Formats: sequence, C-alpha cells, structure tokens
Amino acid sequence: MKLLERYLLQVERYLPLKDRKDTTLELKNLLLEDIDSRITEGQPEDDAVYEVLKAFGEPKKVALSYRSDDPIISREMEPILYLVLKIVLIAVPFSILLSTIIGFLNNGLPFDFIDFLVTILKTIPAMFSAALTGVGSTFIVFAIIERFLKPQFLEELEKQEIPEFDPLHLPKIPDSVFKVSLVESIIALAGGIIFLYIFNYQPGIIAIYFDGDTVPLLNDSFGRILPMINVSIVFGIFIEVIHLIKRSKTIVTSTLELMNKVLITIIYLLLATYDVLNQVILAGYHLEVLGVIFIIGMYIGATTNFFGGIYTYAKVLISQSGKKEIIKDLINKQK
Amino acid sequence: MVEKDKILKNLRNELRKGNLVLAVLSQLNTKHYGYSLVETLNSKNLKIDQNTLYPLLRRLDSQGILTSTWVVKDPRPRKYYELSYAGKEIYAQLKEEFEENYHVLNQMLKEEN
Repeated sequence: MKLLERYLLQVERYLPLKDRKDTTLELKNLLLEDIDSRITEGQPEDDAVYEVLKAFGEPKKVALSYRSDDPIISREMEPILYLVLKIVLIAVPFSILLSTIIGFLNNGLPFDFIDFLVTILKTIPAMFSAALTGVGSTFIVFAIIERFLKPQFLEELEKQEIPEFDPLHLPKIPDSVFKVSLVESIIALAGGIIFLYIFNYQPGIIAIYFDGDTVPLLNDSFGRILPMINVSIVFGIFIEVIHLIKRSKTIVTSTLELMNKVLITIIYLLLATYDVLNQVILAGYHLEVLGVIFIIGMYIGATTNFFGGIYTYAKVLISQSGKKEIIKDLINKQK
Repeated sequence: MVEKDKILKNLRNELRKGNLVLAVLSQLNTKHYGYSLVETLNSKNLKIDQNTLYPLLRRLDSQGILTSTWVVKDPRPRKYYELSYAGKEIYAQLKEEFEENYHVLNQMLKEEN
C-alpha cells in the first residue's frame, strides 16, 4: 500500500489548496474500494494496487481534473517556465554578487576580509529583490506568450504521444529525517540574519545594563572570532534557503549541515577558551560567576552540537541505505 | 487521418460531457458514494471512468447542485452525495430540455435517412 501513499502524495501536491485534505481522503477511500473489490476477486494485493493506479492515471492530470479554473500557464508550457525560472533564480542574484565582488576588488583600497564580508552581506537584499523581479517578469512574459502567441513547437508537442503512466516510477515518500519544517527553517533564517546584524553592527547591545549605564560585555578577542561566526551564520542561511526551495533535506544538505556543526563546535570551543568577556567589567559588578557560567555553557554547547550533529547525520545515512533497498526491491519487481 | 481521429475524439467527448452530467444527476435522487455510483452506472451500460466521475461529483457539490456527507462506517469512511433542493429543480429542467432536444434531433436524423 506504500505505492498508494506515494500516488496520493503526488496528487495532493497539485490539488487546489481549498479542500485539499478532504479531496485526498475521499480519493484514497474510493481507490481502496476498487483495490478491495479486486482483492476479493482473488487478485494479489500488489497487482491490484498497481492496476487501479495505472487505470486512474497520472497524478498531475488527475489533480488538474479537480480544478475548475484554467491555469494561466498551460501544462505544455509549464516545464519550460520552470526551467527559465531556475535559470533566472540562479543567474540574476549571482550576477549581482559577482559585480559586487569585482567592484570591491577594484576599489583601490587594501583588502580587508571583514569589509569584504560586510559588503557581501549588504548585497543580499538587492539579490533577493532582483530575483523576485526576475521571477515576476518571467511569469508575465510567459503569460503574454500563452495569451497571444502559440509557439509552433507546442503544436508539435501536442501531436506527440504522451508516455504511458507507470505507478512504479512515482517519487518515493520522503523519510521523516529528510522532512523540512517550514516554521523551523524560517525561524533559523530570521535568527541568522538578526545575529549577523547584532554581532557586526550592534555588538554593544550585548552589555551589562545597570543604573542607566550600558557597559559592553564583549572585548576585542571576540572581534578575532567574529569572521568565523559570520562564515558559519552565512553558511547556515545558505543551507536553510536550499531547504526552503527544495522543501526536503538531501544527503548533500545534510553533509553541509554536519560541516557547519563542526565549525560551530570549533567556535564554541574558541569562545570558551579565548576569554571574550570583559573580565574587568564583570569583576567591577561582582559578576565573575557570569564568566564561569558562560564558559560552562560554551563547553556544553560544543558537546551537544558536535554529538547532536553526528547523531542526526548517522540517522540520515541509515535511512539513505534503507531507501536504496526499497528502490532495489522495486527494480527487481519491474524485472 | 490523425487530424480526423482527433476531431472525432473531441466531438465525441463534447457530446458525451453534457449527457454524463445528466446521467449522474439522474442517479442521485438516492444517496451514493463515488464507487457505488460508478458500479451503478456501469451496470446500466453507461461506461464512465472513475477519474472522470470523482472530480465531477466534487464540482457539482461545490456548485451546490449536490449535497455531501461523510459517513464513518466500517470498513472505511465514505462521502455520500445526493441532489440538493436546487439540484432537483435544475435536474428537472435539464431533463425536460434533453427530452425536447432528443425528439427534435431524432426527427431530424430520421428525415435524413
């Protein structure tokens, strides 16, 4: 019955948001009625599921038949639109980044890594807005083509035979360790950006507030670790953006996550050993204990972060090998 | 020849579309869930694919022609459909129109022979 779940997952992806769950539940029960009646007639379960799904047809087509509205971009044009969108989404922000880097390197001043990093960070909003504009413009151009022109190759495409739908080729259900929580990703992204801003522009906020006075808690040693913290946060933001786009973790992003966790562990250890807190100020306020708590906290952070990272990665690797077994089973079945 | 087949297929689909709605409405004076309705229509020699009927039922339901209720009973929950009050009126008018058209068309086709 795994095949039925895989089928329904694909149908659900393309169903209208309104009543999506209800439609999927009804469809599941109706397909099960058909499967059950075939099993009662003596057909093996796997064959019954396969035949019912094959007869019901390709998931996207089924989902579209539940829509009463006509899509702005037709099914024939959709793959081309997605391809162009992917190119735009990569090329537009990347060209802005590249021009910023070239501009920075040609400014005639001696190279400063922190300045370089800050310049790149400042470019991020421009990259986002250019990507958004690019996506919007592409969509408008495609809508105009769809409305007023019908490219000749689409007419050719219509004449071509559509390959027969085979349920065994349905995408697998993502394992729970590969699932991405939208809320968690957004919080991680927002958190990353806020920390970047505070550490680089407002480090004074991390301070002792007493009797109207604000005394910064971090000393110059922190500034030496800051580039590493920045790299780690930007790296983390990059991973979360991929998660948000893909809506699923992959073995590649999990490996990147592990690498970042190792980097974060090193940062924790450096923070614990580098004496980054202003000890004179702490002693002045009789808050030496805060320094001790900070160091213990950093060591605990390093340990949990390192072993947590390894544990999560091991789970991903185990489920990956399980996935391979499922695919092997399916290939054998097809043979 | 491919063009001719395609045109015929399209015209046949158009001809069938309206008739299918009428056929479905005619059976929904009593409650049915999707699969039982397919079985009923097939037993009356009206071949309809499940992937055509199920979306059609939901569309008619969202238009208010049908009312639907989930009945939770073994072996699994089922969504039952039947004609709503407005649906009964619409069905009666459509039926009348179909019968009129049928007579007129029948007459025309006979004259041609």
